[in-house]
Amino acid sequence: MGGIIDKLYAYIYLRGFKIWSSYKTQMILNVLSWVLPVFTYYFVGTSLGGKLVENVGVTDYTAFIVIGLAFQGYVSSTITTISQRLRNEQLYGTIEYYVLSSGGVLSFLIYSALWGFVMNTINAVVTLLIGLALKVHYDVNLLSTAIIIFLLLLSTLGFAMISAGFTMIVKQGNPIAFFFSTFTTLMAGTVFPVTILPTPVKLISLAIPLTWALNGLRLSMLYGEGVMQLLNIIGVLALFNVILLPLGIGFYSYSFKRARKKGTLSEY
Amino acid sequence: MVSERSFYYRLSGFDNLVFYGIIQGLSISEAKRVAKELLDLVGLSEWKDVQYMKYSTGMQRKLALARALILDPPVLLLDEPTLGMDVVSSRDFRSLIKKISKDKTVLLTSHNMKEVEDLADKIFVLKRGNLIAEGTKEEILAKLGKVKLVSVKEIPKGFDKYVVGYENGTFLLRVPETENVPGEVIREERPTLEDVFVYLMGEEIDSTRNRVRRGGWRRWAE
Repeated sequence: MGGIIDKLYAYIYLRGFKIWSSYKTQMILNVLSWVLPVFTYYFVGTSLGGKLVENVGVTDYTAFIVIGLAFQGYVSSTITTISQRLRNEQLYGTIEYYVLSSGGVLSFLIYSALWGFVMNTINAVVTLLIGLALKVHYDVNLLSTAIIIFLLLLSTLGFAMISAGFTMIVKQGNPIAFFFSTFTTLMAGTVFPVTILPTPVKLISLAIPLTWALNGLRLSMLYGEGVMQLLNIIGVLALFNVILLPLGIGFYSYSFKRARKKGTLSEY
Repeated sequence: MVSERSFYYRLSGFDNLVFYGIIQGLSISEAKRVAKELLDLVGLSEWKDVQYMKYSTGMQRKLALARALILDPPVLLLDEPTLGMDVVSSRDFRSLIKKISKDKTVLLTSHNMKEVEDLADKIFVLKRGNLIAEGTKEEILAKLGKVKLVSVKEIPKGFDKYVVGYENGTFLLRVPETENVPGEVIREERPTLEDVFVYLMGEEIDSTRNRVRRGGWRRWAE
Protein backbone atom coordinates (compact mmCIF):
# COMPACT_ATOMS: atom_id res chain seq x y z
CA MET A 1 0.00 0.00 0.00
CA GLY A 2 1.12 3.53 -0.75
CA GLY A 3 2.42 5.83 1.95
CA ILE A 4 3.49 9.44 2.25
CA ILE A 5 6.53 9.03 -0.05
CA ASP A 6 4.30 7.62 -2.78
CA LYS A 7 1.85 10.50 -2.40
CA LEU A 8 4.70 13.00 -2.52
CA TYR A 9 5.93 11.36 -5.73
CA ALA A 10 2.45 11.65 -7.24
CA TYR A 11 1.62 15.18 -6.13
CA ILE A 12 5.02 16.85 -6.17
CA TYR A 13 6.89 15.06 -8.94
CA LEU A 14 4.15 13.96 -11.35
CA ARG A 15 1.43 16.53 -10.92
CA GLY A 16 3.65 19.33 -9.71
CA PHE A 17 7.07 19.27 -11.32
CA LYS A 18 6.26 17.37 -14.52
CA ILE A 19 3.33 19.59 -15.43
CA TRP A 20 5.10 22.78 -14.33
CA SER A 21 8.22 21.96 -16.33
CA SER A 22 6.15 21.12 -19.42
CA TYR A 23 5.33 24.83 -19.69
CA LYS A 24 8.81 26.11 -20.55
CA THR A 25 7.96 29.80 -20.81
CA GLN A 26 6.13 29.78 -17.49
CA MET A 27 9.09 28.01 -15.91
CA ILE A 28 11.48 30.74 -17.06
CA LEU A 29 9.09 33.49 -15.94
CA ASN A 30 8.72 31.84 -12.53
CA VAL A 31 12.47 31.79 -12.02
CA LEU A 32 12.70 35.42 -13.11
CA SER A 33 9.92 36.34 -10.69
CA TRP A 34 12.04 34.93 -7.85
CA VAL A 35 15.10 36.91 -8.83
CA LEU A 36 14.00 40.26 -10.24
CA PRO A 37 12.00 41.73 -7.30
CA VAL A 38 15.07 41.53 -5.04
CA PHE A 39 17.13 43.63 -7.44
CA THR A 40 14.25 46.04 -8.03
CA TYR A 41 13.84 46.69 -4.32
CA TYR A 42 17.60 46.69 -3.86
CA PHE A 43 18.10 49.54 -6.33
CA VAL A 44 15.07 51.49 -5.12
CA GLY A 45 15.89 50.78 -1.52
CA THR A 46 19.51 51.80 -1.57
CA SER A 47 18.58 55.27 -2.79
CA LEU A 48 15.26 55.82 -1.00
CA GLY A 49 14.54 53.05 1.48
CA GLY A 50 17.75 53.38 3.47
CA LYS A 51 16.77 56.70 4.95
CA LEU A 52 13.15 55.63 5.40
CA VAL A 53 13.96 52.58 7.47
CA GLU A 54 16.73 54.30 9.42
CA ASN A 55 14.05 56.47 10.98
CA VAL A 56 12.32 53.40 12.39
CA GLY A 57 15.45 51.66 13.57
CA VAL A 58 16.28 49.39 10.61
CA THR A 59 19.93 49.70 9.74
CA ASP A 60 20.25 47.49 6.67
CA TYR A 61 17.42 47.92 4.15
CA THR A 62 18.69 45.18 1.82
CA ALA A 63 18.60 42.66 4.65
CA PHE A 64 15.13 43.92 5.54
CA ILE A 65 13.67 43.38 2.05
CA VAL A 66 15.48 40.10 1.44
CA ILE A 67 13.80 38.50 4.48
CA GLY A 68 10.50 40.16 3.52
CA LEU A 69 10.52 38.96 -0.07
CA ALA A 70 11.80 35.48 0.76
CA PHE A 71 8.94 34.70 3.14
CA GLN A 72 6.12 36.88 1.83
CA GLY A 73 6.03 34.55 -1.18
CA TYR A 74 5.38 31.61 1.13
CA VAL A 75 2.06 33.04 2.11
CA SER A 76 0.69 34.77 -0.97
CA SER A 77 1.91 32.17 -3.48
CA THR A 78 0.86 29.19 -1.42
CA ILE A 79 -2.62 30.56 -0.94
CA THR A 80 -3.02 31.52 -4.58
CA THR A 81 -1.42 28.22 -5.67
CA ILE A 82 -3.98 26.24 -3.71
CA SER A 83 -6.92 28.28 -4.96
CA GLN A 84 -5.58 28.06 -8.49
CA ARG A 85 -5.00 24.34 -8.07
CA LEU A 86 -8.54 23.79 -6.91
CA ARG A 87 -9.85 25.91 -9.75
CA ASN A 88 -7.78 23.94 -12.26
CA GLU A 89 -9.14 20.69 -10.86
CA GLN A 90 -12.65 22.04 -11.35
CA LEU A 91 -11.80 22.94 -14.93
CA TYR A 92 -10.10 19.64 -15.69
CA GLY A 93 -12.91 17.70 -14.02
CA THR A 94 -10.35 15.94 -11.81
CA ILE A 95 -11.91 17.20 -8.57
CA GLU A 96 -14.58 14.48 -8.82
CA TYR A 97 -11.84 11.90 -8.86
CA TYR A 98 -10.35 13.17 -5.61
CA VAL A 99 -13.77 12.85 -4.03
CA LEU A 100 -13.81 9.20 -5.01
CA SER A 101 -10.23 8.47 -3.95
CA SER A 102 -9.28 7.00 -0.58
CA GLY A 103 -7.51 10.14 0.68
CA GLY A 104 -10.45 12.41 -0.12
CA VAL A 105 -10.24 16.11 -0.85
CA LEU A 106 -8.58 17.10 2.43
CA SER A 107 -5.59 14.95 1.55
CA PHE A 108 -5.69 16.48 -1.94
CA LEU A 109 -5.59 19.96 -0.44
CA ILE A 110 -2.71 19.26 1.93
CA TYR A 111 -0.57 17.60 -0.73
CA SER A 112 -1.40 20.43 -3.14
CA ALA A 113 -0.20 22.88 -0.49
CA LEU A 114 3.09 20.97 -0.38
CA TRP A 115 3.79 21.78 -4.02
CA GLY A 116 3.29 25.46 -3.17
CA PHE A 117 5.65 25.06 -0.22
CA VAL A 118 8.29 23.38 -2.37
CA MET A 119 8.14 26.12 -5.00
CA ASN A 120 8.30 28.83 -2.39
CA THR A 121 11.11 27.19 -0.48
CA ILE A 122 13.14 27.31 -3.69
CA ASN A 123 12.03 30.92 -4.08
CA ALA A 124 13.06 31.71 -0.50
CA VAL A 125 16.46 30.00 -0.86
CA VAL A 126 17.15 31.85 -4.14
CA THR A 127 16.13 35.17 -2.56
CA LEU A 128 18.29 34.57 0.51
CA LEU A 129 21.27 33.62 -1.69
CA ILE A 130 20.82 36.81 -3.71
CA GLY A 131 20.82 38.63 -0.38
CA LEU A 132 24.10 36.93 0.46
CA ALA A 133 25.53 38.12 -2.85
CA LEU A 134 24.32 41.63 -1.99
CA LYS A 135 26.37 41.44 1.22
CA VAL A 136 23.54 40.75 3.65
CA HIS A 137 25.02 39.37 6.84
CA TYR A 138 22.99 36.49 8.28
CA ASP A 139 23.24 35.43 11.90
CA VAL A 140 20.74 32.58 11.93
CA ASN A 141 19.32 30.92 15.02
CA LEU A 142 18.14 27.68 13.42
CA LEU A 143 15.69 26.60 16.10
CA SER A 144 13.76 29.86 16.42
CA THR A 145 13.80 30.31 12.62
CA ALA A 146 12.47 26.78 12.07
CA ILE A 147 9.72 27.27 14.67
CA ILE A 148 8.60 30.58 13.17
CA ILE A 149 8.59 29.19 9.61
CA PHE A 150 6.64 26.13 10.78
CA LEU A 151 4.04 28.28 12.53
CA LEU A 152 3.84 30.57 9.51
CA LEU A 153 3.24 27.58 7.24
CA LEU A 154 0.49 26.26 9.50
CA SER A 155 -1.30 29.59 9.55
CA THR A 156 -0.87 29.78 5.77
CA LEU A 157 -2.53 26.39 5.49
CA GLY A 158 -5.44 27.73 7.55
CA PHE A 159 -5.82 30.70 5.21
CA ALA A 160 -5.35 28.45 2.20
CA MET A 161 -8.23 26.25 3.30
CA ILE A 162 -10.48 29.27 3.78
CA SER A 163 -9.39 30.46 0.36
CA ALA A 164 -10.07 27.02 -1.15
CA GLY A 165 -13.50 27.07 0.48
CA PHE A 166 -14.27 30.32 -1.31
CA THR A 167 -13.09 28.86 -4.62
CA MET A 168 -15.38 25.90 -4.06
CA ILE A 169 -18.36 28.21 -3.63
CA VAL A 170 -17.77 31.26 -5.81
CA LYS A 171 -15.48 29.54 -8.40
CA GLN A 172 -13.85 32.82 -9.45
CA GLY A 173 -13.25 36.09 -7.61
CA ASN A 174 -11.67 34.68 -4.45
CA PRO A 175 -11.36 37.50 -1.86
CA ILE A 176 -8.76 35.73 0.31
CA ALA A 177 -6.40 35.01 -2.57
CA PHE A 178 -6.93 38.57 -3.82
CA PHE A 179 -6.09 40.04 -0.42
CA PHE A 180 -2.93 38.01 0.01
CA SER A 181 -1.67 38.50 -3.51
CA THR A 182 -2.13 42.27 -3.46
CA PHE A 183 -2.09 43.69 0.05
CA THR A 184 0.44 41.63 1.97
CA THR A 185 3.38 43.41 0.37
CA LEU A 186 1.87 46.68 1.52
CA MET A 187 0.55 45.69 4.92
CA ALA A 188 2.67 42.89 6.35
CA GLY A 189 5.99 44.69 6.50
CA THR A 190 7.45 42.99 3.46
CA VAL A 191 9.34 45.89 1.88
CA PHE A 192 8.97 48.57 4.57
CA PRO A 193 8.28 48.47 8.31
CA VAL A 194 4.62 48.49 9.39
CA THR A 195 5.45 51.19 11.95
CA ILE A 196 5.27 53.84 9.22
CA LEU A 197 1.70 52.86 8.26
CA PRO A 198 -1.30 54.95 9.41
CA THR A 199 -2.72 53.59 12.66
CA PRO A 200 -5.90 51.93 11.24
CA VAL A 201 -3.84 50.10 8.58
CA LYS A 202 -1.23 49.23 11.16
CA LEU A 203 -3.93 47.58 13.26
CA ILE A 204 -4.99 45.48 10.27
CA SER A 205 -1.39 44.51 9.64
CA LEU A 206 -1.13 43.20 13.21
CA ALA A 207 -4.00 40.84 12.45
CA ILE A 208 -1.92 39.15 9.72
CA PRO A 209 0.37 36.30 10.90
CA LEU A 210 2.94 37.21 8.24
CA THR A 211 3.60 40.59 9.89
CA TRP A 212 4.60 38.83 13.12
CA ALA A 213 6.48 36.08 11.31
CA LEU A 214 8.56 38.53 9.26
CA ASN A 215 9.36 40.49 12.36
CA GLY A 216 10.45 37.31 14.12
CA LEU A 217 12.39 35.99 11.13
CA ARG A 218 14.37 39.22 10.81
CA LEU A 219 15.36 38.93 14.44
CA SER A 220 16.14 35.20 14.26
CA MET A 221 17.95 35.27 10.90
CA LEU A 222 19.75 38.61 11.05
CA TYR A 223 20.41 39.00 14.78
CA GLY A 224 20.46 35.36 15.90
CA GLU A 225 17.73 35.80 18.51
CA GLY A 226 16.62 32.55 20.14
CA VAL A 227 13.30 31.04 21.18
CA MET A 228 13.25 32.68 24.59
CA GLN A 229 13.84 36.15 23.15
CA LEU A 230 11.12 35.61 20.54
CA LEU A 231 8.63 33.94 22.84
CA ASN A 232 6.04 36.71 22.43
CA ILE A 233 6.10 36.44 18.62
CA ILE A 234 6.00 32.64 18.75
CA GLY A 235 3.08 32.85 21.18
CA VAL A 236 1.12 35.19 18.91
CA LEU A 237 1.75 32.96 15.89
CA ALA A 238 0.64 29.90 17.86
CA LEU A 239 -2.53 31.78 18.80
CA PHE A 240 -3.18 32.56 15.13
CA ASN A 241 -2.90 28.84 14.37
CA VAL A 242 -5.28 27.86 17.14
CA ILE A 243 -7.86 30.10 15.45
CA LEU A 244 -7.01 29.72 11.76
CA LEU A 245 -6.54 25.97 11.43
CA PRO A 246 -9.91 24.87 12.85
CA LEU A 247 -11.56 27.77 11.03
CA GLY A 248 -9.90 26.74 7.76
CA ILE A 249 -10.77 23.05 8.12
CA GLY A 250 -14.32 23.91 9.19
CA PHE A 251 -14.97 26.35 6.36
CA TYR A 252 -13.42 24.11 3.74
CA SER A 253 -15.44 21.09 4.91
CA TYR A 254 -18.60 23.18 4.92
CA SER A 255 -18.04 24.57 1.41
CA PHE A 256 -17.07 21.17 0.07
CA LYS A 257 -20.18 19.52 1.51
CA ARG A 258 -22.28 22.41 0.18
CA ALA A 259 -20.85 22.05 -3.34
CA ARG A 260 -21.29 18.30 -3.23
CA LYS A 261 -24.89 18.56 -2.04
CA LYS A 262 -25.74 21.11 -4.73
CA GLY A 263 -23.95 19.05 -7.35
CA THR A 264 -21.65 21.95 -8.28
CA LEU A 265 -18.29 20.29 -7.55
CA SER A 266 -17.14 20.25 -11.13
CA GLU A 267 -18.93 23.41 -12.22
CA TYR A 268 -16.61 26.28 -13.01
CA MET B 1 -15.67 5.31 -14.96
CA VAL B 2 -15.21 9.03 -14.46
CA SER B 3 -15.27 11.05 -17.68
CA GLU B 4 -12.21 11.35 -19.89
CA ARG B 5 -12.09 15.09 -19.15
CA SER B 6 -10.67 14.30 -15.72
CA PHE B 7 -7.07 13.65 -16.75
CA TYR B 8 -3.98 15.83 -16.72
CA TYR B 9 -3.50 16.90 -20.31
CA ARG B 10 0.24 17.58 -20.00
CA LEU B 11 1.05 14.17 -18.51
CA SER B 12 1.42 10.99 -20.55
CA GLY B 13 -1.18 8.24 -20.37
CA PHE B 14 1.23 6.17 -18.28
CA ASP B 15 1.96 8.99 -15.82
CA ASN B 16 -1.74 9.70 -15.48
CA LEU B 17 -2.46 6.09 -14.57
CA VAL B 18 0.47 5.98 -12.13
CA PHE B 19 -0.75 9.21 -10.52
CA TYR B 20 -4.30 7.94 -10.08
CA GLY B 21 -3.01 4.56 -8.89
CA ILE B 22 -1.08 6.24 -6.09
CA ILE B 23 -4.04 8.47 -5.23
CA GLN B 24 -6.09 5.31 -4.83
CA GLY B 25 -3.60 3.91 -2.35
CA LEU B 26 -1.07 1.95 -4.42
CA SER B 27 2.68 2.29 -3.92
CA ILE B 28 4.81 3.76 -6.72
CA SER B 29 6.03 0.34 -7.90
CA GLU B 30 2.54 -1.21 -7.72
CA ALA B 31 1.06 1.74 -9.56
CA LYS B 32 3.66 1.46 -12.33
CA ARG B 33 3.09 -2.28 -12.70
CA VAL B 34 -0.70 -1.91 -12.78
CA ALA B 35 -0.47 1.02 -15.22
CA LYS B 36 1.63 -1.05 -17.60
CA GLU B 37 -0.75 -4.03 -17.42
CA LEU B 38 -3.81 -1.88 -17.96
CA LEU B 39 -2.28 -0.04 -20.91
CA ASP B 40 -1.61 -3.45 -22.44
CA LEU B 41 -5.19 -4.52 -21.74
CA VAL B 42 -6.78 -1.49 -23.40
CA GLY B 43 -4.28 -1.45 -26.26
CA LEU B 44 -2.49 1.81 -25.46
CA SER B 45 1.00 0.47 -24.68
CA GLU B 46 2.39 1.94 -27.86
CA TRP B 47 1.24 5.43 -26.83
CA LYS B 48 2.02 5.18 -23.13
CA ASP B 49 4.56 8.02 -23.18
CA VAL B 50 2.47 10.32 -25.37
CA GLN B 51 0.87 13.30 -23.61
CA TYR B 52 -2.80 12.76 -22.90
CA MET B 53 -3.79 15.88 -24.83
CA LYS B 54 -2.58 14.20 -28.02
CA TYR B 55 -4.87 11.19 -27.57
CA SER B 56 -7.94 10.76 -29.78
CA THR B 57 -11.38 10.55 -28.15
CA GLY B 58 -11.31 6.76 -28.41
CA MET B 59 -7.89 6.58 -26.76
CA GLN B 60 -9.02 8.95 -24.01
CA ARG B 61 -12.00 6.71 -23.29
CA LYS B 62 -9.76 3.67 -23.17
CA LEU B 63 -7.51 5.39 -20.68
CA ALA B 64 -10.55 6.31 -18.58
CA LEU B 65 -11.58 2.66 -18.68
CA ALA B 66 -8.06 1.61 -17.66
CA ARG B 67 -8.18 4.02 -14.74
CA ALA B 68 -11.52 2.60 -13.62
CA LEU B 69 -9.84 -0.81 -13.47
CA ILE B 70 -6.88 0.22 -11.32
CA LEU B 71 -8.22 -1.39 -8.15
CA ASP B 72 -9.72 -4.31 -10.09
CA PRO B 73 -13.30 -3.60 -8.97
CA PRO B 74 -15.89 -6.40 -9.31
CA VAL B 75 -18.44 -3.98 -10.76
CA LEU B 76 -17.87 -1.31 -13.42
CA LEU B 77 -20.22 1.60 -14.01
CA LEU B 78 -19.99 2.96 -17.54
CA ASP B 79 -22.02 6.01 -18.44
CA GLU B 80 -22.51 6.29 -22.20
CA PRO B 81 -18.95 5.10 -22.85
CA THR B 82 -19.01 5.42 -26.64
CA LEU B 83 -20.74 8.79 -26.83
CA GLY B 84 -19.11 10.98 -29.48
CA MET B 85 -16.84 8.23 -30.81
CA ASP B 86 -16.50 7.35 -34.49
CA VAL B 87 -17.86 4.03 -35.77
CA VAL B 88 -14.57 2.13 -35.76
CA SER B 89 -13.50 3.42 -32.34
CA SER B 90 -16.85 2.64 -30.76
CA ARG B 91 -16.81 -0.89 -32.21
CA ASP B 92 -13.30 -1.33 -30.86
CA PHE B 93 -14.38 0.01 -27.48
CA ARG B 94 -17.41 -2.29 -27.36
CA SER B 95 -15.21 -5.31 -27.94
CA LEU B 96 -13.00 -4.13 -25.09
CA ILE B 97 -16.04 -3.91 -22.81
CA LYS B 98 -17.04 -7.43 -23.89
CA LYS B 99 -13.56 -8.67 -22.99
CA ILE B 100 -13.66 -7.03 -19.57
CA SER B 101 -17.22 -8.16 -18.82
CA LYS B 102 -16.14 -11.82 -18.93
CA ASP B 103 -15.04 -11.61 -15.31
CA LYS B 104 -16.78 -8.44 -14.12
CA THR B 105 -20.28 -7.10 -13.82
CA VAL B 106 -20.62 -4.09 -16.10
CA LEU B 107 -23.48 -1.69 -15.50
CA LEU B 108 -23.68 0.44 -18.62
CA THR B 109 -26.03 3.31 -19.36
CA SER B 110 -26.67 4.21 -22.96
CA HIS B 111 -29.08 5.88 -25.32
CA ASN B 112 -27.54 3.92 -28.16
CA MET B 113 -29.80 0.90 -28.56
CA LYS B 114 -27.40 -0.78 -30.98
CA GLU B 115 -24.80 -0.70 -28.22
CA VAL B 116 -27.29 -2.11 -25.72
CA GLU B 117 -28.23 -4.92 -28.12
CA ASP B 118 -24.55 -5.70 -28.65
CA LEU B 119 -23.47 -5.71 -25.04
CA ALA B 120 -26.28 -6.31 -22.59
CA ASP B 121 -27.16 -9.63 -20.98
CA LYS B 122 -29.88 -7.90 -19.06
CA ILE B 123 -31.60 -4.61 -19.84
CA PHE B 124 -33.21 -2.12 -17.47
CA VAL B 125 -35.30 0.73 -18.91
CA LEU B 126 -35.58 3.81 -16.72
CA LYS B 127 -38.03 6.64 -17.09
CA ARG B 128 -37.58 9.63 -14.81
CA GLY B 129 -35.62 7.50 -12.40
CA ASN B 130 -38.23 4.76 -12.27
CA LEU B 131 -37.70 1.26 -13.57
CA ILE B 132 -40.34 0.63 -16.23
CA ALA B 133 -39.01 -2.55 -17.83
CA GLU B 134 -36.33 -5.15 -17.26
CA GLY B 135 -35.27 -8.43 -18.78
CA THR B 136 -33.14 -10.02 -21.44
CA LYS B 137 -33.15 -8.55 -24.91
CA GLU B 138 -35.80 -11.12 -26.03
CA GLU B 139 -38.01 -10.39 -23.04
CA ILE B 140 -37.86 -6.66 -23.69
CA LEU B 141 -38.60 -7.10 -27.39
CA ALA B 142 -41.57 -9.31 -26.55
CA LYS B 143 -43.23 -6.33 -24.83
CA LEU B 144 -43.98 -4.84 -28.21
CA GLY B 145 -44.96 -7.84 -30.32
CA LYS B 146 -44.46 -6.69 -33.90
CA VAL B 147 -44.08 -3.27 -35.50
CA LYS B 148 -45.58 -2.17 -38.78
CA LEU B 149 -44.05 0.21 -41.27
CA VAL B 150 -46.80 2.64 -42.24
CA SER B 151 -46.83 5.32 -44.92
CA VAL B 152 -48.97 8.41 -44.13
CA LYS B 153 -49.59 11.79 -45.81
CA GLU B 154 -49.82 13.61 -42.47
CA ILE B 155 -48.46 12.62 -39.09
CA PRO B 156 -51.35 11.88 -36.71
CA LYS B 157 -51.26 13.77 -33.41
CA GLY B 158 -49.04 12.08 -30.84
CA PHE B 159 -47.23 9.97 -33.43
CA ASP B 160 -44.18 12.24 -34.03
CA LYS B 161 -41.96 9.87 -32.11
CA TYR B 162 -42.61 7.01 -34.54
CA VAL B 163 -41.43 8.89 -37.65
CA VAL B 164 -38.41 7.18 -39.26
CA GLY B 165 -38.35 8.72 -42.74
CA TYR B 166 -39.89 10.90 -45.42
CA GLU B 167 -40.04 10.00 -49.11
CA ASN B 168 -42.19 10.92 -52.11
CA GLY B 169 -44.39 13.26 -50.07
CA THR B 170 -45.24 10.69 -47.39
CA PHE B 171 -43.98 10.04 -43.91
CA LEU B 172 -42.77 6.60 -42.85
CA LEU B 173 -43.73 5.52 -39.34
CA ARG B 174 -42.66 2.46 -37.35
CA VAL B 175 -45.57 1.87 -35.00
CA PRO B 176 -46.51 -0.98 -32.67
CA GLU B 177 -48.95 -3.38 -34.30
CA THR B 178 -51.54 -2.52 -31.65
CA GLU B 179 -51.68 1.16 -32.70
CA ASN B 180 -54.34 2.22 -35.21
CA VAL B 181 -52.82 4.58 -37.77
CA PRO B 182 -54.76 5.74 -40.84
CA GLY B 183 -52.29 4.95 -43.65
CA GLU B 184 -50.87 2.29 -45.89
CA VAL B 185 -49.15 -0.58 -44.06
CA ILE B 186 -46.05 -1.43 -46.08
CA ARG B 187 -44.90 -4.43 -44.03
CA GLU B 188 -44.65 -5.90 -40.54
CA GLU B 189 -41.29 -6.49 -38.87
CA ARG B 190 -39.71 -7.77 -35.69
CA PRO B 191 -39.18 -4.79 -33.39
CA THR B 192 -35.76 -3.48 -32.48
CA LEU B 193 -34.81 -2.25 -29.01
CA GLU B 194 -35.12 1.26 -30.36
CA ASP B 195 -38.79 0.60 -31.22
CA VAL B 196 -39.43 -0.71 -27.73
CA PHE B 197 -37.62 2.23 -26.15
CA VAL B 198 -39.67 4.77 -28.11
CA TYR B 199 -42.86 2.94 -27.22
CA LEU B 200 -42.02 2.67 -23.52
CA MET B 201 -40.93 6.29 -23.17
CA GLY B 202 -44.28 7.51 -24.53
CA GLU B 203 -44.81 11.24 -24.00
CA GLU B 204 -41.45 11.55 -22.22
CA ILE B 205 -39.56 11.91 -25.48
CA ASP B 206 -41.59 14.96 -26.54
CA SER B 207 -41.55 16.67 -23.16
CA THR B 208 -37.79 16.23 -22.77
CA ARG B 209 -37.25 18.85 -25.45
CA ASN B 210 -38.87 21.44 -23.24
CA ARG B 211 -36.91 20.74 -20.09
CA VAL B 212 -33.94 22.78 -18.96
CA ARG B 213 -31.23 22.01 -16.48
CA ARG B 214 -31.20 24.24 -13.44
CA GLY B 215 -28.89 24.10 -10.41
CA GLY B 216 -27.41 20.71 -9.56
CA TRP B 217 -27.58 17.58 -11.64
CA ARG B 218 -30.59 16.31 -9.72
CA ARG B 219 -32.72 19.37 -10.19
CA TRP B 220 -34.79 19.70 -13.32
CA ALA B 221 -37.46 22.18 -14.17
CA GLU B 222 -40.31 21.64 -16.57
